Amino acid sequence: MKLALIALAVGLTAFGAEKEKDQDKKEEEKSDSERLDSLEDKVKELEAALRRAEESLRAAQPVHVSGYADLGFFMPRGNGGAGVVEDFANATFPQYQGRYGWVFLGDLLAPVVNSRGEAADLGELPGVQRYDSVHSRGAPGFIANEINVTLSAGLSEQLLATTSVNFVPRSGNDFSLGDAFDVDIAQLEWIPFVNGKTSFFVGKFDPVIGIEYRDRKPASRFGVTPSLIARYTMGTPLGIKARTKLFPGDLLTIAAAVTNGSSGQEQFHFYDEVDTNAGKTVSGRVSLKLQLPAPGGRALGELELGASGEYGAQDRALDSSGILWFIGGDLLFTSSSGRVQVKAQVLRGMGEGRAVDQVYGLHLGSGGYLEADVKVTPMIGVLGRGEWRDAFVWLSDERAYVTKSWRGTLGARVTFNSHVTLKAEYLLNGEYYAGPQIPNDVFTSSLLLSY
Amino acid sequence: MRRFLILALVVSLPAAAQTAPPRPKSAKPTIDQLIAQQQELMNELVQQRTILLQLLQAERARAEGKPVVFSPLPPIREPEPPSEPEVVARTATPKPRKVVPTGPSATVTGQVNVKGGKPSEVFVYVDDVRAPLARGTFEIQQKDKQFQPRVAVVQRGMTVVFPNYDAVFHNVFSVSPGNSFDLGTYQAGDPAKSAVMTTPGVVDIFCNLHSRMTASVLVVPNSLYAKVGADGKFRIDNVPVGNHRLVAWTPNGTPVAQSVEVGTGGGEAALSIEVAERATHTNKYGQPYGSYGD
Repeated sequence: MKLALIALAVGLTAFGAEKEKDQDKKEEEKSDSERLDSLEDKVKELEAALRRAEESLRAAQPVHVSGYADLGFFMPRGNGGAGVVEDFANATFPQYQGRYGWVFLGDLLAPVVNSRGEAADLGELPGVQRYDSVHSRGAPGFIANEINVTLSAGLSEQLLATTSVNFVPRSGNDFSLGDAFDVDIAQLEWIPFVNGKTSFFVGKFDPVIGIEYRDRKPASRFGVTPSLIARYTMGTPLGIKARTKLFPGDLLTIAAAVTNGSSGQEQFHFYDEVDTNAGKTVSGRVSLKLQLPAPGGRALGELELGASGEYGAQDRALDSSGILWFIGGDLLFTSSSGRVQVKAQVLRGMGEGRAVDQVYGLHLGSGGYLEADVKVTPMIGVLGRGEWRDAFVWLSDERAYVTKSWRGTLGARVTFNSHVTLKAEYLLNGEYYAGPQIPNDVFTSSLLLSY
Repeated sequence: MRRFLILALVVSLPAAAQTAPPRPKSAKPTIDQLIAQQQELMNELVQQRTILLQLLQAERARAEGKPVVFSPLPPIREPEPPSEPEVVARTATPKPRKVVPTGPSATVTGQVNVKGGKPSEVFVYVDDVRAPLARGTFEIQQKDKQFQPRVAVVQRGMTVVFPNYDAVFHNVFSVSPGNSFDLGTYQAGDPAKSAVMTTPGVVDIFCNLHSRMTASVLVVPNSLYAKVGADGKFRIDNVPVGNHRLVAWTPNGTPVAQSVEVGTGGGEAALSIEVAERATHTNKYGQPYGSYGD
């Protein structure tokens, strides 16, 4: 064995020496130009091989980690940062006199400061103890909106596991920390067919209703804040979901889900992560995607029209007798270049409430928004949004909230690169009933650091 | 003894590296500097080979009970001093190297029967004639969330540039063996990034952010290729006389090869290729895009 090794080594040496001689001879015969070309070729190939080796190493990681830090500064304009005031002596809505102990005007979540939908302050309202996560009392301040870590792992070419966790640093209370973390997404997606157009989900996933959930994370949202109806459509319920795209150009998309509760945001009182009743919520959405032609043959863009709804047992009720439902329509236009997006959504809903279980009732007469996002340059973008919410929310005969609110939002964003974006918005909040205007405008901003 | 030998090897390798002359600091090395670097690498290899030989000899001596003697390492050959920098013209335009046949050549003509696709996206090339790496660039734009063109043929060695004209970020990548690359995330206004295609074969190109963006580039080994006409016919000139392998290729189709005898009067071929539905693909991490990847 050893002799064989020695023979091999000697052979290699002899072969190498012979090859060197041949090489030298050939080199002499080559012109300078040929030598230059040959060397350049070799360098190119070596560089490409090195790059491929580096990329192979990175691609070999079984789990992909991404996420962001969303840091903000906000400035509420009045009313202690709160979006509601009491209707003293039922001066504005006398029809509720004697029916409810307290009647409040406005919208608790109108003075929103971040993509989570948190209000600058929830106000000091009588008869209720709430966790006021920001609780600025009207003071301007910096805020770490949320720190997100997302892990995704391709278990196979057809199975994708994703978890997304938000860390939410907030003020403590009575010597305890106020920091929280929330599991935003924990889903397994199965893509059974090779065309990749059908998916089945299990776990805690994006909701089915409307389109705003697609922008609910600050990394995908053009501006800073969600709409006034986002509280009903941007939660991440637990259950199972299916989604499929049909026909050429994904003309038709159908999605359906069965979940514990509705698609409301977790902090809000129309949401049940772990169900308290046997009734489940069924939701679905159908959308048409159309390519809009423009004169000259070039596509103008893509128009998506959708209708969605959900129906199920009232969240947080101890039996399934009460019903909570929503129905809505949406529109999304995206220009071919991606420079312009126009989004619109309308929503109606009803929840019976259940006094014995301290469950709120809801009559969402209508709510909706129209938003235009424009990238003036690839770096600079502006947005405008107009919206309204007409709702009546009550808890037995104890309290009621009358909302007839409108909001105008103007915003701008600067994208420094794929990792750093600075966004700012001014929210002009108003009421359209014949009563007092609540001074609850908000300036808010967000520095988004993505990785 | 074995430990001593390994120690000697470990000590010798860095020493060999240290004795090597420092690399030139110039950002653009001249041909002489490149030659010097090549010589430097060869010297290091010679040193390592000598050490390996010594280890083998020492092992034999130890087995025969003879004293182990290490001979000194051969001196490192100093590279030739670099001469004055040579001005080399560079071009940004495509400069494929034509195959210049040393012997007689002729024209190959033929017909491709395309099932399930358009003949305009079918290419035919001569697979077994090797040419030096080509120079120059080819541009594939990222526009309206699509690659334009979506099908292209480049010669081995060419640089494919991917400017982004969209107001959104794209991340162009390929995991095709031999030509894999990942250009990172950039948008309109950012400098265009590029990849050098060094290995013949099909390069499937995607965007890591938009699953619907796909392009296919065929890297051919020489300039002997042609695009099939709307009638399915093709013509390739300057094919060396002899027996050659002709390949028909189209995106989403399995390439079809056929031998063709090229005489002084030329050659003829008839090929048939089938186009299938494009299958889904994974992102650059090998993961599915998920239902919401657009």
